[in-house]
Amino acid sequence: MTEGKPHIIEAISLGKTYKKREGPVEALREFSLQVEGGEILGLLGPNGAGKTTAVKIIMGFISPSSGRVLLNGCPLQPAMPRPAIGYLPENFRPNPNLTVLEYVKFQCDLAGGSINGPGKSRALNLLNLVGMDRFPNRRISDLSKGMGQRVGLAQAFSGDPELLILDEPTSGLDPVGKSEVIEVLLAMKQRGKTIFFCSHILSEVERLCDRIGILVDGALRFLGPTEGFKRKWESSDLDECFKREVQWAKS
Amino acid sequence: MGKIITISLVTLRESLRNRLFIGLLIFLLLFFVFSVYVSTLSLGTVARFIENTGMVGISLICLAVSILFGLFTLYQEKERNELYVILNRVPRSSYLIGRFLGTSCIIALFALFAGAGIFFLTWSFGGHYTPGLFWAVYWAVLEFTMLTAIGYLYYALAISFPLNSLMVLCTYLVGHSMNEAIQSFMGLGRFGSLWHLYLVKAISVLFPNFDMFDYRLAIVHDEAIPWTQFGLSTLYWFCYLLAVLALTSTIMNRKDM
Repeated sequence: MTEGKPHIIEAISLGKTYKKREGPVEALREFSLQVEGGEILGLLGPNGAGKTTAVKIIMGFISPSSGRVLLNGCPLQPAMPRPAIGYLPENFRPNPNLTVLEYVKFQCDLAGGSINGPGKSRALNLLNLVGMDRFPNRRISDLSKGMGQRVGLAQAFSGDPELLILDEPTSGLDPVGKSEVIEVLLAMKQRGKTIFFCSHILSEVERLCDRIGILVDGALRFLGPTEGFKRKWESSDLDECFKREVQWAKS
Repeated sequence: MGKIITISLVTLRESLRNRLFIGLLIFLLLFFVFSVYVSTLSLGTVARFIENTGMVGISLICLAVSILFGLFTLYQEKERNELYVILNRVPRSSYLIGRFLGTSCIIALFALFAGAGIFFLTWSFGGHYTPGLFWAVYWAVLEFTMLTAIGYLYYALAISFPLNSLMVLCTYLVGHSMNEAIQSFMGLGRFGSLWHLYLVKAISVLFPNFDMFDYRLAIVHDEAIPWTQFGLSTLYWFCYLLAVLALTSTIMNRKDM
């Protein structure tokens, strides 16, 4: 807790075991973290570390085998919508048969009454925010991947959420696309939004995050500021520190 | 309720813009041409031929819509990870009902196109005025919305799209064999106790029984469908639909997405 206020999101001892033919697979174990209001927290980990599982549990898409999630101190129920959280899933592709404006308006309509103004003007504002206001009537099927990702960000902002959870927001984008997404996220941080995102791209994490979490084989190995992680491994290169952490965890 | 309507309107809009929509319309037109051609081979029963083949056309087109618009788009939405964005804003049951209503509108639209087309062809080529064809549209809508709901149930059970389509097809075929099945199980009324009869009938109603909506013969022969029969079939559709959608919602709420 910060000055008596609950953490914006708190995961307590989350665990997830999948039942597979070859036996139970532990995707997440004793995963605990807290996200403070207004910060950017990046969850780092190699492929298959359990990042998406952790995010899906927090979002209620999968139920944990153990543990619980609190949003502003209140427990969240699995399988229930989380309108207070803006969410962008990994490899997100919006509906190709709609135009950019129609899609974002659709999401604004679903986000409901807490937002200001009617859906269309709100959607146009969001498109302006992510730099897509020049293409409101373009079909989503005609967009580049980077543009599609910006539409994804616009929909994530559509309920004016206090917390954004983004799963690999820059995956598959070229350097220009990545840079554009990072700019949007920094702008959101300046507006006081809290951002929790997963990535395995260290340069963007270093540029964006106040704190990082390192997840390897379903276990959270480190949680703290980037500098603290560098100090732990006595190196100024985050890449090198990350490799050492993964190797140490696997050994 | 507003969110359910929003989802169903978007479902309708995206279906209308889908290339498959045009493809199915072309298929329908070709089917009309085919039914007119076949009818010219008949001896003095042109109108009846067009009606008969036309009603088969309504069933085929609605089956295609049910699978391609009702189910395929559902799987595509999950593959694009768009499903999670929607489920972050609305309960799973609302999503399901919204999608179902949107698909039902598309089924109704196609059935109406097909019904109007056959009506026009029967009138212009066969010189026969058959308003009963619009009842065929009504029964087709009931039948295929029910089939779509069953497809949603299979989706909730995490069955893959190809298998789901196959199972929907099998359900459709078996559902249309229910009256024959009842007759066979009862040995054409010669064997079994009264309880046996009730059991067989209960199973046939649960499975589902699409013969409840099959009034093609009556329509072709311009026979009136008794109101009790009409009411019973509609009530059966309503109760079955409600039960399947409720079961699907319950499963969706309990499973990992």
